[in-house]
Amino acid sequence: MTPPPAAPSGTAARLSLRRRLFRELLPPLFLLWLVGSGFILMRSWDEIGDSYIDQLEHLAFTLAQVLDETAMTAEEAVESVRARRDRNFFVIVLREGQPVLRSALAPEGMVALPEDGFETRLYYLASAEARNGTVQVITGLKKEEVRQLTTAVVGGAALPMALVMIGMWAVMYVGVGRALAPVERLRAQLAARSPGALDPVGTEGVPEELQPLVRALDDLLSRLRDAIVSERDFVADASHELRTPLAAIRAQVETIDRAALDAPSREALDQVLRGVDRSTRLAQQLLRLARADRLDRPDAPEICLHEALASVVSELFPAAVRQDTELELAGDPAMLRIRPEDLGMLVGNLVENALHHGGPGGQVRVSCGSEGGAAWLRVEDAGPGIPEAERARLFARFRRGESARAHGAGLGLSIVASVAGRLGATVTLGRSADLGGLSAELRFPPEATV
Amino acid sequence: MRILLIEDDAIVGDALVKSLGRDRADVVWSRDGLEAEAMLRGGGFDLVVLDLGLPGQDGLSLLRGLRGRGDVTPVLVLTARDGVEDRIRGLDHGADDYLLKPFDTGELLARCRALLRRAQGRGDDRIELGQLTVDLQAHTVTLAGRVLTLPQKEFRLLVYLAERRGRVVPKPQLEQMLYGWDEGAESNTVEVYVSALRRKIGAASIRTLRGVGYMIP
Repeated sequence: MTPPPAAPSGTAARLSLRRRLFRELLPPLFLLWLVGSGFILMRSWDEIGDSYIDQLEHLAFTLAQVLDETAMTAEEAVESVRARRDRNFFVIVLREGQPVLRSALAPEGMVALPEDGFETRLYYLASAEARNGTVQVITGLKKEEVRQLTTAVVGGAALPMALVMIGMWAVMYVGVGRALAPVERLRAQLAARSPGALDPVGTEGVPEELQPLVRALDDLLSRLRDAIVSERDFVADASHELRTPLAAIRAQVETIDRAALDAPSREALDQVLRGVDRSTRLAQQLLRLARADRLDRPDAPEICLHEALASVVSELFPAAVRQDTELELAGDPAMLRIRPEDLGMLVGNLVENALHHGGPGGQVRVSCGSEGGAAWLRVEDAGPGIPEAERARLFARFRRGESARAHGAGLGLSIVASVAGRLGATVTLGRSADLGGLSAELRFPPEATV
Repeated sequence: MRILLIEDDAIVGDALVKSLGRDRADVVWSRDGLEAEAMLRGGGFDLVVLDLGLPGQDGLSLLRGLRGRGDVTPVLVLTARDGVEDRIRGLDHGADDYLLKPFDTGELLARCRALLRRAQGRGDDRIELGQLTVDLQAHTVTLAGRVLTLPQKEFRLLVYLAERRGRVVPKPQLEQMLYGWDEGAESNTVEVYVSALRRKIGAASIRTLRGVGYMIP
């Protein structure tokens, strides 16, 4: 009957705020990283390319100058260039249009600046002429060189950026967890409440964002409390409304001076009293049933079954005496966790049933004990019993066993079945070995047994 | 003997006025809580029979007010509410006894007499149990006009059960009444006294709830 304290994990995963936050934040962050890295890549490509081209031009110009003005041979000049680290450079020296020198990396067949100028598919190029106009120097660089350098530069920037992103993710993970801690506290606080606790949760220590939720919850709890109070009042009022007129009939009948009546009138009067008794019992059973289904049941205390039965049986004894039926309590002490109202309802109905079954001059025995860690209680009578085929039907609410028609105890066993079901106890109907009549046995679950 | 009956239901009240009147009581009947409150303040009653569900002012607050003023007039509460908590609340607020509606008139009268006896501490009262009359002052028991002589313990046992007529008295409680806490009674001595009593006043006059105790029906 108690709702499960936590939602199933699947639902919780789908509804997790933490997951939702990460889902919302991580892809944009990744995209930002990608765009940033792409931007750096493009800028680096341009800047590095430009810088190389400047170098190429500078080299060509310088070589041309050197060859023009000094006695250094072209070979010596190129050798000095080759000694440098930049092995991907090449130099072509032309004298009067004829190549006189090509460095090792100079592409085959390149004897002049190509038609399309200073950039080909594979190379960046630059050229310079000496002032006398006889010497032309073409310098070149593989684009591949620029690409490699650019990649190294971008890689050098993107890696730290990625580390920053991971760091941010970690900070977010911890931060979100800490920010959601009040939610977790609230959840734990709600989960720890007993099913009957209807007092407000209260907004103390609850973050602003959760306060409307808590207020709505408190509002719901207060409405639930009102509903329960009015339900309880209704049951109590119904009890009053039913009992008072019955008391009126009974009290009035009992003012009649029986000694002044003839035998048939006295008999009629007795029938009226029996009718009142039966109505009283029915009203009581209906109220008990309403109470058994009540929402605000208090927690079950630990009681000694034998002692509790003694007080329940004592209350039923006057009725047994009126029926001229022997009532007896037997068995051994057994500790059980049960609400006294529930026990009263179980035993009350079983004993009343037994009293009516047994008929006048009968015998009813209530006994209890524990066996294998489970408490049991049994109510036996010396009546005619119930045929096996009919026993199950007896539990149906309002249904009367064919041979039990006389006493009108239709509700009793169905109340017992309903209460026992709620307590997790099993009810078995059988034949009493000692008394020969019906035996109704209740076996409580081991977890209710102390 | 003046009894204040506070009961709002016309038919129940009418029947109780007749029954209590037949029992030689002078009954004043109030049907409203506020009126009853005024009458209680006036005083002069030997017993109050109070219905808890009242218009005007509810029975429990009437009872609380009465006890709050230090008034110890015995109060028998009639209640139509059979919830255990309702009963306990009634006794907590100073009721001397309670009866659940609908009640047996004979039992109501017996309890009224018991309350009056207890309150007045009068020894000249008598308990009547059908053919049997117990005279508390003379310490005699008459059965159909014939005087019986009962030993002290049997007499005390009979009176104790008779004052709690209609209710089961647990055996340990009877042992304690007869012997106090100190003297350890043999486990079957109560049974011996009960069977002796039964031989003198009739077997059916004391009923046994085996495993629990005894009751005079």
